[in-house]
Amino acid sequence: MVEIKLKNVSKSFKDLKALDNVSLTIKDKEYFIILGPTGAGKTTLLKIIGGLIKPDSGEVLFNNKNVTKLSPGERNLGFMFENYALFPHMTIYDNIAYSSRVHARDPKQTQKIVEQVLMMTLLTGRNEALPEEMSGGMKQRVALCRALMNLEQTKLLILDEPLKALDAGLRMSLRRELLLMAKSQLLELTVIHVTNEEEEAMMLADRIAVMNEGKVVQVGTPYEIYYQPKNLFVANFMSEINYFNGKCVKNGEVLNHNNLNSEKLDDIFLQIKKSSIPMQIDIGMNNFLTAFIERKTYNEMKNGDRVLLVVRANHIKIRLGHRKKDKHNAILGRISRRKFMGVFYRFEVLVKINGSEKIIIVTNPATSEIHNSILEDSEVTIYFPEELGIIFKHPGKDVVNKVLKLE
Amino acid sequence: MTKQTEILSEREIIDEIELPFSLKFDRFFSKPVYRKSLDAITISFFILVVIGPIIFIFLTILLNISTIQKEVFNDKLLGDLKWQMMLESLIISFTIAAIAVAVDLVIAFPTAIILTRYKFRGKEIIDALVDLPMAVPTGALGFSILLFWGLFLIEPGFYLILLGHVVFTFPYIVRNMKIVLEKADVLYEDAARSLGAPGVTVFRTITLPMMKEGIIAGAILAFTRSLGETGATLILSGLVETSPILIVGFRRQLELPAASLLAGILIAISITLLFSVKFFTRKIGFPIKSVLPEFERRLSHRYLRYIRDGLVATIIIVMILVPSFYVISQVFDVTIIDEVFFGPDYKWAYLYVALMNSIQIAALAVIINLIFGIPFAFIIVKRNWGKAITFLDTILDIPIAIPSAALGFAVFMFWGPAGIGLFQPGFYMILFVHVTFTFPYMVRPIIGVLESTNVGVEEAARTLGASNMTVFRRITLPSIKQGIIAGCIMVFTRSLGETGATIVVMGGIRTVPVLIVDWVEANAFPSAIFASTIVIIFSAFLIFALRTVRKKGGE
Amino acid sequence: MNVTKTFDDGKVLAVDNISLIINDGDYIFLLGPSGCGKTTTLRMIAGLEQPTEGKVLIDGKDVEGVPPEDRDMGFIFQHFEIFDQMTVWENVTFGLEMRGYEEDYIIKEAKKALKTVELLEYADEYPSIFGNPGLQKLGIARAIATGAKILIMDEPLGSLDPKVSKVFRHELRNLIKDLGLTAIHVTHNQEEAMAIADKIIVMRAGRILQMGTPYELYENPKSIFVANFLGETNFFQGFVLKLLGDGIIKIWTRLGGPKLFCNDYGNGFNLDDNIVIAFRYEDIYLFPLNYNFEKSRYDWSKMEFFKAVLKSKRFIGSTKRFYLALDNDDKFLSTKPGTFVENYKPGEELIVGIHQDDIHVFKAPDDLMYELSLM
Repeated sequence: MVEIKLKNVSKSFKDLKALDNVSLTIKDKEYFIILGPTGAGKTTLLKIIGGLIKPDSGEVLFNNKNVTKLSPGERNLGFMFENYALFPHMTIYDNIAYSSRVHARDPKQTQKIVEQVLMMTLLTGRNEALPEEMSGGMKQRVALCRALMNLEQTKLLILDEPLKALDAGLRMSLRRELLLMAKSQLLELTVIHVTNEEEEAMMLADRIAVMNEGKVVQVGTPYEIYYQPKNLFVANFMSEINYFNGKCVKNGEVLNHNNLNSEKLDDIFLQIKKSSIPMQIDIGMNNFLTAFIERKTYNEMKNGDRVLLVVRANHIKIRLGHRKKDKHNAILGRISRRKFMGVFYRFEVLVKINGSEKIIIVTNPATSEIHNSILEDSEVTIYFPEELGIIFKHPGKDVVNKVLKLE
Repeated sequence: MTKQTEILSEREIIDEIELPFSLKFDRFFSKPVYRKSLDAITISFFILVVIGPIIFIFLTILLNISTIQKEVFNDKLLGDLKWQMMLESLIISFTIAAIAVAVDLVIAFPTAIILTRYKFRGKEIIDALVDLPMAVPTGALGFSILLFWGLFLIEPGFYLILLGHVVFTFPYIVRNMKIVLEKADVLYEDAARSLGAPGVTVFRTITLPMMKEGIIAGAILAFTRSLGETGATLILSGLVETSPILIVGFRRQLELPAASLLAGILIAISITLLFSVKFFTRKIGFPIKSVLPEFERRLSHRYLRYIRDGLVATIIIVMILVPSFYVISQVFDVTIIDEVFFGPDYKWAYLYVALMNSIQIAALAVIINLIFGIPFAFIIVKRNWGKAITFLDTILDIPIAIPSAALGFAVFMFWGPAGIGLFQPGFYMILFVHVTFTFPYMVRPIIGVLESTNVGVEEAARTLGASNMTVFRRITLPSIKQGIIAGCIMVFTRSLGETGATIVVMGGIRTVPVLIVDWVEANAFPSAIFASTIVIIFSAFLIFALRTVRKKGGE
Repeated sequence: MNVTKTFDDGKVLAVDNISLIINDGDYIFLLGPSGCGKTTTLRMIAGLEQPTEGKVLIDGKDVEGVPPEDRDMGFIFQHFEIFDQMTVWENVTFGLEMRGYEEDYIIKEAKKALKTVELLEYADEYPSIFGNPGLQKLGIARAIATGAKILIMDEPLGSLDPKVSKVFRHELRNLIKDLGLTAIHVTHNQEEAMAIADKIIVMRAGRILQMGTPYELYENPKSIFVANFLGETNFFQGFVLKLLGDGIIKIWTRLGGPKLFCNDYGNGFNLDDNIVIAFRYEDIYLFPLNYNFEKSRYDWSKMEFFKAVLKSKRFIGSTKRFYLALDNDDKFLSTKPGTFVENYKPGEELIVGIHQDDIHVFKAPDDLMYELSLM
């Protein structure tokens, strides 16, 4: 049983605030991912949990016991470093057996376990190899084994960008292996995994904590992070987005739920619908868009408040011809660029909003229909379902620019 | 098709454009012919000036084997007394070197760790002070040590030599350890700590094995420096004779065959040592397996660490720093000014001439080494000559590894009347010796920065249209500037401080370190104090300059 | 061009007898796992390496012995290789200066290049103020300022954060297209290649496996490796049961047993040939057990159906993944768009459909593990 709590942890390096009042709870047997861009403070957070860095203030609790002052050796968790940090002067065997030797566990027992581990990871026969002789994928497995060997009662595995150093292709298959291992009944692991790749996070996590500039911005399941992001940063980080500046129209045309264009609904959309209500947004020139908004936020908003409507590129649908009247939330445009990307087609659609031109990004599954009919320079209609629009209070132009430019 | 013709026509235009003179010059000299001839000149310089004397000394011994036989082993009056003296001196030299290195290693470990891993106020200054004895002429250092331990009534002799050698070899070991410690990624230590290893275990199983090369490089350097030291030893030795002193003695009495033999033996031993250690370094493993976890855990306790740090700090201060600079505290004695400036024998005039000699020789050595050192470093790093490069790289270290008195004697034999006969002992021969033994000090730092410079940037410049020479002038040179300056300062300080090699070839010319030794031997202590203080301050200035350059390079 | 390059006195064959033609105005990708020889190929084109055998032709002229500075190509590096001792302005003007242009022209062109990448306001700063994206923009400006018509890029997005590179890659493509440049781009990231390439050359172990547009490669992979490397694919082993003429064959696989029909894509299979079939995750249709096919307006005649149990499902944003298992416990995967509406529960039995044309058939290789390893 492992439960990790961080209470108001802060850490600065000289002038740089690496962590700013971070509080988190990681549940037992959870695959917990910390996601954020480079320099968000992710690794610092890991090192504080691992005891390699002492926080300036705040507490780290394992099972409600304060371990802030304990040395890493006394925490007995498995820590896998970015670039693996395999001891270059030791063989694979010695690397894996290191923690057993340091803890003076029974040498015969150790030998048996290490040999088993080597067999499981298909590294048998490479016992005497040095890390420099191994390929990236092999090193990754050795580092993982070395970390696992240190687990005693605290079955906590900490992974710092475990797949970053690998080829893109290899990364895919190793993700699955990681997940299988983490969820194996035998090991009963709790995993904290740091990454800057949103796809990796979505693929592996039970819950994700999104970090930026030393703060935890949002914690939630992949679903929540994706469909109900707390702010523009989170929304933008998870996939390509489009945004519209607008004003909320609370007393606009009253919408009837039956009126909405997506009839069939998934559990999650139903949930979104239940907890929220639709609201109209005026983006100018008689363009009204509708999106669902949480009841609480809705109540806080006044008519005419400036809002930001965010729609993910893959939530916008595209159809040939100007048929705005059939659809809600529809805008007319012309395809300026189209590109086949494998599973998806990506379109850059030129639309006119409020007299100025704007590029809307649309990604749609690459069906043969799209491949054959929606070409560059085609006149198209783009539209999106109400429940997939995300409304934020407008954070100001500067913030929008900063977030979208990823600075 | 139209696009292609467009590109073509544009290219023709480019050919027509008149390039500025500097670019044309660069393009002209980028031709392989010039590169190859420069390579050839550099290599010939290296072989003739740096390696030639060493080979020649062995030749001399072989050619004069009968004379040596007659004079050293079967002298009519003395029998094999000279041989006995040589043997004895060798034993003394090796014993002192071995003990000094051992003592240094013990103190240097904690020192290096404190200076790299800890953060505290004044670290910079301590760091510089530890480096300083390396730059100060050993004569001055030896004199200071003589005065200091004289307070405790330690007479010149074996133990005083040992104390002196511990002091001036110490920085070589600490510095090399520091370099590897700074390079060694803290990540590995973190990894070991996260796997449950206490501090001492981390050090023994992770840090120490990764420092291996640095420790050994430092130890060799310190050992050979101790083996070859002359200046301080002359002052501290009393009646004891180490091998370099014996060479100086033979040379003074013009017993050239005996001196050749001893120089040859010293050089041979040093080279063998250098190569065997280089060869075996890779094979030595540190024990990483057997552990006494409980014992090491207790040893890792905080209080023990405090005690260790305190002890080391005391030893460094009492045994190394204070003796080194004790002489400065004596400079305020009134008699000094009297003796130096108003004495009957114009000591100040002597000192002034010697100082000028020293500076001129050092400056010229810097210039010559600069001219040949940069191309040589380029050859080592950039040329794709396979085994030849490895060979050149290894023999480059020889002048550092062999005792300078022996090297000086070899140069004397090679260029002097007994050999080619180009120079008589005097200014130019001193210069030649200094060029020879400082060459590696110039080349090594340049190799260091060249290896760490980014080849990609040079390729980027070439794809942008720069020729080889332009790339060198505009891209490479600015980025290796730090290494070149560091090399220059190293050469300058080493040349300024050298005693042994100078004595062997100086003829009537005096440099400052030699002057100090002379004055101490003549019991003109106040003048020696004055001269020592001047050189110590001058060296300190140089060391601080060097550190500033390094720091800028690091940023 | 048609070249072979060896390193270390011929012991290691880095690139083995490659021939490729790059047309004017194409955005070409050299794609392959680490160590496949793609960077070597690129460096030979740029003149930073010399081919051991063979020739590189530019505009029909043999460029053997022409040093890189005379090839007039812009090079963009993975680690940017910005001259950090020069200002942004000096970086950009360097190439122009080397060509001996007049000052007015240099100023005009450098300004134009800096404007293109939106760095003009930083002209007098030193590059150290930039993060990685800024440095790469500067690298691009420096390369295009000289007016080179060929742009060579070695993992230009490899040092950027994944999120940044996903945005930046489209900007890069748009810029290259707008300037009408010919570009050669090396990467190991297949997603990147698919996203922005006009044409992809897939390399492995020093050889070219296949080249074509992303669409051609994706829809018609010629080898198991390419099928696996580009996109996400399920593989099953089997053998040929019957030849039905018109390029249609009946096969036996562990997937659905002896009843699968598929197109042999001109492979000319014989009876009893051992084969491997491949189909994309996203080409799998899922239906509930009670689905009424007659009511549907689609033509199901060329679909193959079988049953499978849903083991688990995962939501990963733009897609949903379904982990499925057959009776014989063989597992495979299906993906659907993230907005795909379904309420399947783990443990539920589903009907799985694949269109015959979406099944790719390959001759069984000697070493399937090697073909499927992404190295």
